[in-house]
Amino acid sequence: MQQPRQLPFERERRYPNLHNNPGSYEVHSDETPHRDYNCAAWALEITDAVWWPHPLDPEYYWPPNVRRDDSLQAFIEGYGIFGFEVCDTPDYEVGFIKLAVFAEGDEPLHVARQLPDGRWTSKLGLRWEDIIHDDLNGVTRPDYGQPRLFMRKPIAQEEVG
Amino acid sequence: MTTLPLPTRQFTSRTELRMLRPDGSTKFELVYFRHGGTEGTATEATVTITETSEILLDEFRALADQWHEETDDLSSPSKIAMHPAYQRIISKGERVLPLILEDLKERRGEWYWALRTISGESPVPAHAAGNRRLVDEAWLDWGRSRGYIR
Repeated sequence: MQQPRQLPFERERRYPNLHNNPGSYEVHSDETPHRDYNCAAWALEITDAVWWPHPLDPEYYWPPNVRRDDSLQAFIEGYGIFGFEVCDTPDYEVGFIKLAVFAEGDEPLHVARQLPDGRWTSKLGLRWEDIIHDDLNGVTRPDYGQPRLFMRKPIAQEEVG
Repeated sequence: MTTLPLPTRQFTSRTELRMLRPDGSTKFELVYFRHGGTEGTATEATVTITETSEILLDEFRALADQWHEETDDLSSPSKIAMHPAYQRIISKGERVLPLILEDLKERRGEWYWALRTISGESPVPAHAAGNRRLVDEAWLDWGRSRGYIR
C-alpha cells in the first residue's frame, strides 16, 4: 500500500502538530511556484487567484461591494455571497460543507475547508503544497492563529447523491 | 560577507562596527578601542568607511532569505509585510528597489507592499488583482520603465 505523501522535512517541521503526528495528514497537491492561489481562495476551491480582504493591497482579490478589511466580519460577508452562513462548531454535519477561519483576535490568518469525509484541507501560503489534515489542530501555530469562525453551506443535492 | 582589513595586532582590545544611520544611510563608523600606555585606560580611533553595494547586497540577501523562509507559508498580507526582516528592507529606501525587483523576478514573493511603500506608486491594474503572474509583470514592467532593472 502506498504511503501518504508527506511534506519535505523542512516544511513539515514548521507545523509542530503535523510534525509530531505525521500520520495525521497527507499532501494533496504540488507546490505552486507562481503563487497561483492561497488558502482563502482554496476554501472556495479556486486555484487561479489570491484572495484576501486587506484594504491596502490592490494585488489581492476580494469580491466587490463587500467589506474589505482585516476582520472576521469581512470573511463573513465575502464568503456569505457564496452561500456560507456562520455556524457554531466545526463538527462534521451530513449535507454541509464547512469552512474554518483561523485568527489571532479578530485578525484572520488562515482558512481551511472541510471535505466530505470530515477531514480538512489547507493551502499553505501561496506557493507551498495544499494538504489534507485530520483536524484543525494540525495547522494551528502562533502565526496561523486559532480556529475562530466557522461557516457552512448545504451541499447541492446532486453532489450529495 | 565583506572582510574588513582590521589591523588587529595594533588594536587588540575591542573592535565594533556601528551603523551610523540605521534608517538606511550609507556610512558605517568603524571604532577601534585599544589600550593606552597605562594599564586600564583606553584610547580610541575612528575610521569612517562608505558602505559598498556589496555590503548592501549581502545584507539584503540575508534579510530576504530570512523573510522567505519564515513567511512563504503564510497568507495574511499583514503578517507577511510586518515581518521584521521585511520592514528592515523597507527602511533602506529607494536603493533596494533594484534588489527587490530582482528577487521578485527570480524567486517571486509578496514584495508589493514594500514596492508601494518605497516608491509611492501602484502600477497594478484593477483587473490584475489576485493574479500573481499579471501583478508581478506589472511591477517588473514598472521597474524596467524606471531603470531599476533590465
